[in-house]
Amino acid sequence: MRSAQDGGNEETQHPNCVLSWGRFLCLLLGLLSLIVFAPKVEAQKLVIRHARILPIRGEIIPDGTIVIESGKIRALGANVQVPSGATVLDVVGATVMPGLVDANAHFGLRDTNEQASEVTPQIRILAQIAPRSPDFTHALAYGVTTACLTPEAANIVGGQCAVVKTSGHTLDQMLLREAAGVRAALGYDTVGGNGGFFRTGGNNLTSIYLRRPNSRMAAVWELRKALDEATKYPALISVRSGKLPLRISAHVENDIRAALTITDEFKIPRLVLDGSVEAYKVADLLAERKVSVVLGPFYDPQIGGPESSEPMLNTPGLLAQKGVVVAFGSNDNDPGPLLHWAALAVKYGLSPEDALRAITLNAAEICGVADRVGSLEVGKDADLLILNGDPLELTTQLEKVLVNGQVVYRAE
Amino acid sequence: MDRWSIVPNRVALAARLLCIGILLASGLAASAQQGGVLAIRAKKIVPISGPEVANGVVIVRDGKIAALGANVPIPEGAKVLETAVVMPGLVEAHGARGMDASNENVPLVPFVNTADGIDPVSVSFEDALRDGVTTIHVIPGNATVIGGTGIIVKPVGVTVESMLVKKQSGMKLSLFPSGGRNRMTQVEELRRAFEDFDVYTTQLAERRADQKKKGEPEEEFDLRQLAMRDLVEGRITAYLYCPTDADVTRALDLLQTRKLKAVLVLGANCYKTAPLIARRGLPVILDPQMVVWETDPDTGKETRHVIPTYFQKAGVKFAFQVQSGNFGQSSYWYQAATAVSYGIPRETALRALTLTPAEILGISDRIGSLDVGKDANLLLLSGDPLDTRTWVDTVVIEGKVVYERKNDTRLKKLLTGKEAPDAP
Repeated sequence: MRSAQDGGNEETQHPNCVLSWGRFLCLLLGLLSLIVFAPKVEAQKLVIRHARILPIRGEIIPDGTIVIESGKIRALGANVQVPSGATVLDVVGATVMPGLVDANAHFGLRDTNEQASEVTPQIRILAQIAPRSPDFTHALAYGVTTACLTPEAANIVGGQCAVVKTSGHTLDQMLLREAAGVRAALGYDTVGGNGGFFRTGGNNLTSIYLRRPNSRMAAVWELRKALDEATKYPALISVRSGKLPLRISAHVENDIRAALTITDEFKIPRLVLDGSVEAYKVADLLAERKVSVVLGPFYDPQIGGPESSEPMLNTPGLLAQKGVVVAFGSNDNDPGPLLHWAALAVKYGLSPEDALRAITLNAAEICGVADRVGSLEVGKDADLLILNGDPLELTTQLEKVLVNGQVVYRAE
Repeated sequence: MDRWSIVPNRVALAARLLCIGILLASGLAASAQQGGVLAIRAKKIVPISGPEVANGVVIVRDGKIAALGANVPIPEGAKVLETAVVMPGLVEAHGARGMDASNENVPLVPFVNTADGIDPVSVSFEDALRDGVTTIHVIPGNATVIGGTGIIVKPVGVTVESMLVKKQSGMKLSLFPSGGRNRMTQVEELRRAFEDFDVYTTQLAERRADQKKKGEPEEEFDLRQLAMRDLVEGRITAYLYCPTDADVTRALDLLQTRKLKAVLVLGANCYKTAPLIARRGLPVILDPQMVVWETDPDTGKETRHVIPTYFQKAGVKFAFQVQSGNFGQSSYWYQAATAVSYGIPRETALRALTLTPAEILGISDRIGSLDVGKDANLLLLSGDPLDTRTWVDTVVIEGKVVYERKNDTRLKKLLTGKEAPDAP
């Protein structure tokens, strides 16, 4: 069913090269309206009043006001003056929180595994993004306003991640951060489909080429070699100097340990682990080394697979308790229901504060965009969610999503 | 293969009587041990069939609900359980728990029954209990034409016989083209199956008349056609699987000509036909995926459709489905709570977990709500049913405590990552 839907989406992607008359006219009108209305938009002020505000950083404000000007938060608090000429939105009983940040997403991307080589740190996910992909619309409906787009995990070093807002028509409008980390991977994802037709018996082929490596040990070796030869790749120089985090996708314990060994060898200053379902087994070690962990997607306890591991439902809770910075990511084209994951994580033991942080500020910090998004603070972007109740209850409805102060999603 | 559920031979009958005897004996022993009467004192009773009761008591006697309400005295010697909330056990209207393969690989198998395929010790029954599901319809999958009949079980017992609530509960008919068929062939095969049955019964009647004339013994009804006869004569309900709206219209056509008792099992893309379904008064079982996006092929505009709201608006009775794999969607609580977030009234959502599926299954005289005389299938919850942080603390089936969270070692392991100290 999903594949059929995906197919449908692909068919409807816009052929950008075709500029029809209709489009030309639209463009012209758009440009005109920009000229006519631009100064007005610039001065537009929006005030949200009587909201229960969860700023994430700072105390909860039970009945507060947020002043938005030119897409930024100008003021917020319990006693804030409403500026003159502002549009006022009274949201009595509603809760306002920052827009969600998905720390590991593949929205708007297709074919996010480059097949030319196993080590491709120089390639950038930016070149792959389709800004008009429906994935972004779907993400907004889940309250995700910012996403760190990452290459998938079939390559040992897959390329550079970028951070975008999920609203906007062009990459320029969406882009928050061009380089947010380098994706690396260990484990089955990197070796599962390799080895050519005969070795795999025709199953799970990632490539028709006889790729290397075929084993976990060789995957580790390839990563070691890449980091050793960092001078060949500017992106890896940034990783070794700590300018960019190294984001290793490692699911099970032995891959997590291998990731730690390698980062120790090369004294990599910033390590982020992605999709580490078995991180709970090495929680102390991760806390000690200040490694952040991006969890998701979340599966049922029954799920199997080549790296079959019975998930520990309270993995986020245990990691947070040990002091590990935890964020959530959907690791898919389809956006994950981050609020629902956070709600369930709370059921299983994560504190409500940490759960909300995991889908906002923690993710923003991991992706290097916490100066712009992830919390409601004066000077930050006005990306926020208006909900009709506690965001950690499944019965709560997401009513509106604002990006840069503009309503970009509204529940019907 | 043992066909105890279909072939009423004497050996099977004797075996079953023996089983029932043993069960009755053990049941009596258990109830004698428990003193017979159970009293549940709850801060809130959610009976589903009526308004919620604050600070009430539910009395269970002989596996049935004997009394409930705010001012019900607790009888002397009753075992008393305290809880925040008590409500009826959940009812699964459609699923394949305990089946390793739920589809036969030939298209027309109305004569098979899931009773012959269920693994009673499957972990999915344990998961059901943990989730508060106390009544389960196990029915063949959607990848045949006529897939066979299901049975209704409870998730306790190590034999299918001991789990049984109702045998031969529904016949699966599918409009989903599978096995290399296209939609035309699928519908044609479905129609032909009924025509072939008509031909068989007509010819049988002729042969029997002939045999009667000649004084010969009359030919027996073909065992393989028995379930078909039950379906055609309205003794069992047709569960028609329709993956898309187009299939719904064909299913309705078939029902128009065949006058079957029917329930529609819908795919995620069925919502435009909600008013048509409403006009026929048919209940539906919703797809586990409750939100779908539609892409306008010309503009690329994305529109979100929340499936249950269409059926709510049209006035169609619906029950939820779950699917394993997707975190959350494997739980009925998640389905009901998220439906509420999309605007479904709380009462409808809770009913869709209990009384509505019981009505769909035709067992609402025994199951699905807290009413005097009904089976004592109860959930003792730590909080409000739709509160995310609520746990199922205790499950009672037919008056017996069958699950307690405090003794759930697997749950402990899932929450801590450690084996319980007393585990082998």
